[in-house]
Amino acid sequence: MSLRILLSRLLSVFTKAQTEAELRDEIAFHLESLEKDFLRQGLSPQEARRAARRAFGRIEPMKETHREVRSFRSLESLAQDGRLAARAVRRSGWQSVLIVVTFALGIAGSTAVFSVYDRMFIRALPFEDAASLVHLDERAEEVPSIRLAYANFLAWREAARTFESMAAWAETGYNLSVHNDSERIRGARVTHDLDDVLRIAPLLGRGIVPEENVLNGPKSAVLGHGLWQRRFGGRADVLGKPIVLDGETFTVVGVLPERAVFPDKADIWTPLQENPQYGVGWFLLGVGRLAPGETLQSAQAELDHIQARLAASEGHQFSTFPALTDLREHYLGDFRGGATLILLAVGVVLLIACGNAACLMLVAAARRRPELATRLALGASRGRIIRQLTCESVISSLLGGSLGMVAGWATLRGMVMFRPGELPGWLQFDLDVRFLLFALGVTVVAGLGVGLVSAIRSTRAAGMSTLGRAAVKHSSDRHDRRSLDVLVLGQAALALAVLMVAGLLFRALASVHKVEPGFEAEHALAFTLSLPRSDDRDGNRRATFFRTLLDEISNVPGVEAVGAASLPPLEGFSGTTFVPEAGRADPAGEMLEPSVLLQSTVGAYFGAMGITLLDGRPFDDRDQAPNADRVVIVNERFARHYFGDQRPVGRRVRFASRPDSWMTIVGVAGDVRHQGLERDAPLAAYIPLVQHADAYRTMTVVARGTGDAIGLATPLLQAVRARDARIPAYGLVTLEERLARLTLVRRAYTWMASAFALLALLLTVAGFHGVTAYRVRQRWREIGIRLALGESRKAIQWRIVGRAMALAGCGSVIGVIMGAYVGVLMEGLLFGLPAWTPWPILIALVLMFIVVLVASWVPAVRASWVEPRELIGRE
Amino acid sequence: MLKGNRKGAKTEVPYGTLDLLILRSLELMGPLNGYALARRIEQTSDNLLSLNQGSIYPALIRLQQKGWIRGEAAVSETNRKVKLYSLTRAGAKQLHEEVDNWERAVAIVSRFLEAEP
Repeated sequence: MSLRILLSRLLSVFTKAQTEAELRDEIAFHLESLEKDFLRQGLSPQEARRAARRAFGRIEPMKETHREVRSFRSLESLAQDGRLAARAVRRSGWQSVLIVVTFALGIAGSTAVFSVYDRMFIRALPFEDAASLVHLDERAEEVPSIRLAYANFLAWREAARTFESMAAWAETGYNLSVHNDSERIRGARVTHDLDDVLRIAPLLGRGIVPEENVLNGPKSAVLGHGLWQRRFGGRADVLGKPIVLDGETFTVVGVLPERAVFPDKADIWTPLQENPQYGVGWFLLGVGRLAPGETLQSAQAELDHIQARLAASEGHQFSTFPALTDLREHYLGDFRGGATLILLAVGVVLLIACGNAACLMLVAAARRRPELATRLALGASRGRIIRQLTCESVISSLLGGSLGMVAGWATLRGMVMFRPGELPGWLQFDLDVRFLLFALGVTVVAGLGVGLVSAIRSTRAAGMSTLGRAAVKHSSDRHDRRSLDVLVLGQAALALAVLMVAGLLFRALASVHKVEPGFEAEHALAFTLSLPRSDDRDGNRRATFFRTLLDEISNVPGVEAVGAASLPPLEGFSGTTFVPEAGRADPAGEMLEPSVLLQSTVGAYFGAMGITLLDGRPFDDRDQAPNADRVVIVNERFARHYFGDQRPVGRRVRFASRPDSWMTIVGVAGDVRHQGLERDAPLAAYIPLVQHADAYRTMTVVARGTGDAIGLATPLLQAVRARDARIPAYGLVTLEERLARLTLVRRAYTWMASAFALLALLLTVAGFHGVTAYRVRQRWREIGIRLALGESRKAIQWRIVGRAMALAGCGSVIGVIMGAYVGVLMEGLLFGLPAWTPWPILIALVLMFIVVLVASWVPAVRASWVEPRELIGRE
Repeated sequence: MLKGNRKGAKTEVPYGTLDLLILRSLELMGPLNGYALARRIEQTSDNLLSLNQGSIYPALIRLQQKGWIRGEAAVSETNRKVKLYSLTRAGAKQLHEEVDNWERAVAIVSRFLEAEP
C-alpha cells in the first residue's frame, strides 16, 4: 500500500493543476448547494450565503490540508516514508545507499546525454515536415562544399520537378541605425520562396515577393520576431515604416513568427538582389523541399542532369556539381560521431551501474538468506517474497532515479551552458517529457530486472534449506560466486573499454593540438568593421578609410603590427578560380574549379597574423599608385598546384571569370588551415584591397601586440570610434580564443568521455570492493582455519587479491578487444590514430590494475588481521 | 485485539472515524458527490455531529490515494462540474475490516465501562 501512495503522490506532481481546478469546482458546487438549502429554509440570500460558508468551514486551510495530503508536503507522512526508508537502509547498511547512488549516477549521465542526442539526431528538427527538407550546395572536384552560384540556383529552380520548392539566401550582417544608436544585426538576403519552403506565414504583413528579387528592386525588409520585440516593442505599426540598414533605407513589409528560426540566427530578411549574370560567385546557401514521393537520390539525379545540360551550354566554363544533403546531416552531421560515442559511453556507464547494483543486491540478498529461509519455512509463498524483494529494488531504483533526474537536469543545464557556437541556434535543449519518461523507464526497468533476478536467485537458494544447511550453503555459494564473477568481470571489461576509448580521444586531441595552424595565435586580436553601403560608389574612399585607420592603430602604444583582410581568421569561405599564364597544365578546354580561397588585404596583414612569407615581398607602397601593376600573393599549395616545382614569383595569373584581370605574383605565403586544424589548408590567394576596393566593404582588422592581446581591445576600439563613431566594431576575439574554438567540440567530447570513463572506473571499484568483501565474509571460517594451521597472512591476502586480479585481467582482455573495436568504428574521430595505439591501452590497463588491487586489498587485509579464533567463531 | 485498538489511536482519530463514515455512506448510497456525502453524514447523525463540511475533501483525496474509493468527473443536475465518489472493491473490504475493528474496540471499551469493582 505504501508504494501505491508513494506513486500516487509522485504522479500528483504532474496532475497538480487539474486537481486544483477540480477541487475549486467541487467547492463552488458545494457552497452553491448549501446556499440553496438555506434559501429554502427561508433565509435571505445574504444570510444564506453566510450560513453556507459557516457550515462549510474555512476554505483556504482546508485546501492546504488537501494539498498536503496528496503531495509530499505532509510532515507526518514524510516522516513515515522516511522511517520506512531508514529501516531499509539500516537493515542492509550502506549497501542501500550505494545502490541508490549508483543508480543516480548512471541515470543522471544517461538522461542528460540522451536528451541532447534525442534533440539532435532522433526527434524531428523544429521545422514543419522537416523530413522533406534538403540542404542545397555545390561541390568542386576537390572541395566538398563551395556554396551555390546564383545562376545555377535559378536554373535548378526553373527546371527541377523533384522539388516542391527551393530557396536560397546569402548570410549577411547589417548595421541597424535607430536614432543615433547603431547595432550590428545578422540578416539573410533571401529569395522570395524561403517562407514557402519553410511553410511559415508572416505574423504581420507579407514576406519577400518576386518583384523584389531583382537588381535595384524595392528595398524591403521582413523583421525577425526577436528583433521586432527587442527594437520595435512588438508594435503592429512598424509595417510601412522605414529602417536604416548600412546607411540605406529599407521599408518594413512584414514580421516573421517566433518559430521562424531559419536561416540560423537571422534577425532580418531582406530581398536577394544580385544580378545573376554579374561575375561568378559561389556565396549562397540553399534549402529545398522535396515533392511528395521524391527522395534525396532522385532529386540529386535530376539536378545532376540539369547541371550537365548547363555545363554543355555555351559560355559555361566552371565544373561544379550539385551536392544535396539531408538538412540534419548538413547542420549536425559533424557532431554525430562525437555524440554517438558519448551516448555509447554513457550507456556503458549505465550498464555498469546496473551490474554494480545487481552485485550489491545479490550480496545484500545473500546476507538475508537465513531470514528468507525462515519465512519460506513458515509458509510464506515464494511469489510473495519475490514480490517484496523486487518492490524494494524498484523503490531504491526509483529513489536513485529521482536523485538522478535532478542531477541529470543539472548536467543538462551545464552541457547547454557550454554549447559550441557551431551548433545551430534553432536547436533548443530543454527538459521535456521524453527526458522524464526515458529516465523513469530506465530506472524502473533496471530496478525490476535487477531486483527480480536477485530475488528469484535468493529464494531458490533459500528454498533448498530442507536439504540441510551445509548443502544449501555450498550450492548457493557456488551459484552466487558464478554470477558475481560474471558481473564484476563484465564491469571490468566495459570500464576498460571506456577508459581506452577516452585515452585514444585524448591522444587524438593532443595530435590535433600539435597541428600548426599556419599563423601565430599569441598576442593578436581581431575585430570586424563594415562600412555603409552608401559609400559604394567610391571604392577609393573605402580603401583610404582603412589605410588611415590602420595607420592610427599602429600608433597605439603596444601595437606591433596591424593589418586587415576581407575574411575573419578561420571563418567563412569565398572561392574563385585562377588561370595561370603558363603553368603546369594548359587550362584551355579544361573545366575550372572555384576552389581558391580569395582574400583582399590591407596594411601589414601577414605580419599581424604571423603568417610567414616564404618567397618574394608583401604588398607595399609600390602597389598603392592608381596605375600600379596588379599584384597577388599566393600560398604554398596554390604555388604547387599551378606551378609545380617552378618558382611562382614574377609569373602572372588572372581570375577565370575576367579575361582582362592579369596580375603578377609578388610573394608566396605559408599555408593557413583556414577551415580547421583537421582539414588541409585550402589553396589561397591574397590581393591588395586598394586594387579591388569596389568589391569589399567589410574588413577584419588583426592587430598584434607585445603583451596580452585582450589589453589592446579598449585602445583599438577607441581608435575606431575616434575615426567614425557610426561604424560598430563587432566579432572581437583574440586569435588564441579563435583557435581554441576550433577544437571546442573535440575537447568537449574528449572530456565528457573521460568523465564517464572515470565514473565507470569508480563504479568498478565499488563493485570489486563489495564482491571481495562479501566473499571474504563468507569464508571467514576457512580463513580462520588456515591462519590457525599456520598459513601466513600474506599468502591469504594474495589468495584473495589474486582472485580479484584474475577476474579483472580476464575482463581487461575482453575490454581491450571491445575498445579496439569501438576505436575502429570511430576512426573518423581519431585523427588518423590507429585503434591499437599502445599508450592509451597501457594506461587503461595500469589504471584498472591499480584500482582493483586497492579495492580488493582492503577487505583482504582486514580479514587477515583478525584473530583466527574469532573468525572461526563468527559463522 | 489490543493491536487493532492501538492502531486506531495511532492514526488520527477524527480522520479515522470520518473515513469510516464516508466508506459506509458510499456503501449504502452508491456513488455520491462531496456535497451529498456531507449532507448524508449530517443527516444520519441527526445533526449531532458537528462537521465542517469542507473537511471531507482532504479525507476523500486520501481515501482515493489508498485506492479505497474512486472519483469520477461528472455533471450535476444544475450543470456544474462535480466529482462522483464510489467505493472500490478494496474499499469494501477495508470497510468491513474497519467495522470489525470499531466494534471490537467499542466492545472492549464498554466492557471497561460496565465493569464493576
